Amino acid sequence: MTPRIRLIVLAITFICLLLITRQVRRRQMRASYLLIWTALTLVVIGLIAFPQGVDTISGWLGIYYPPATIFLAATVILFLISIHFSRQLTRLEERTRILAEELALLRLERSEPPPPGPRLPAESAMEAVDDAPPGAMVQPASFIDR
Amino acid sequence: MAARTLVIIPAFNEEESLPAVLATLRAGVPDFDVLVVDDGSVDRTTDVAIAAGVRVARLPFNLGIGGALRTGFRHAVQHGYDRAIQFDADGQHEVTELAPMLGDLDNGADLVVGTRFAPHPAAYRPGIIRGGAMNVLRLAVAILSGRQFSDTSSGFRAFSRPMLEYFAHTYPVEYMDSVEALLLACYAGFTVIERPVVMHERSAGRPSTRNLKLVYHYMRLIVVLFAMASLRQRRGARAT
Repeated sequence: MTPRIRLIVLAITFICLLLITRQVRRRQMRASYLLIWTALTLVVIGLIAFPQGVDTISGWLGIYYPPATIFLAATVILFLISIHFSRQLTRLEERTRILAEELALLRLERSEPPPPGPRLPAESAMEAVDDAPPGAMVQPASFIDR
Repeated sequence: MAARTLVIIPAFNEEESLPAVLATLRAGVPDFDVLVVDDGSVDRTTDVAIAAGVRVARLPFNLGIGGALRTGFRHAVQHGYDRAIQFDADGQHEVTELAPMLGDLDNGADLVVGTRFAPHPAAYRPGIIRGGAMNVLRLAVAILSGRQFSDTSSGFRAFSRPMLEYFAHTYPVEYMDSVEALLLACYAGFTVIERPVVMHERSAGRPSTRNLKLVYHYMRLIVVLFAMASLRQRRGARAT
């Protein structure tokens, strides 16, 4: 590796790390993800510092063309991370579904949905009672939570 | 004491057909409670259901029929119903068919599937693509469950209390839930039977899915079904 490419990779690594740290600081990303990405960054920095390490590892694995080792490692790591994300997504979706189902059942129990917009619950409940014919189930006309 | 029965009607934008369906239910089975699960409709589905005097559980966004059903199952379990019926909002199902299906439940069945294909005067005739896909599904289910089911995607079903409790948390939520549900019930050792019923053409609205999307869903389902096959070992370990 020429010094130039080392410098470029190092710069890219630091920029990525900086971006990720910023996301965490703004609470747009969980800190545990910072950990994963920081660990990967350290690996990349390690490779920049000791490029011959790749040759050594390739020798252990029986890979004749050392850059292939890097591609292999990157593919495996990204693969694992995307599996992890698929699992997380599935879990999140399932939880969202359960929340939606429970919300529908709670609305039914209360016989009225929560008011649209920032109106106070008590206020809307009184309005709804005023508007409803006696004995009718109280439920305001359509509102869609989208 | 008579068994308490809940009729669960998943409804997505069914304001046109729902009133007639609710009217036939009120006339045919006045003793049964009716729960309409409004699956994130953008029309007046909830309003027409309330106007008809039935209970409505309104989902905040569209979950698909599986999610709507699961909501209904939870309600049935929470409120101590002995059995539940899944009934279509678009007038495909006939109230007079309910009695024999419930009779099957009384005779020990856990899941009664109303089937369109068994010999019957007004036999249901699907299109070529849908019909072909149904044959593939039927074959897959036959291989996996070791049983012949003539109609794997029927939305006209009756559920026993143990079945409801099982499905309240495990009911599949993706498209064509009914096929997965059929296998789940078989694998978990529930008694699943089929009963021939009359079904009508849809009275209003359009079929929920187009052909191309249908192909994707069938592919997905085949994969899921075979992935599920590992559950078969649990057969006999029935959760009651």
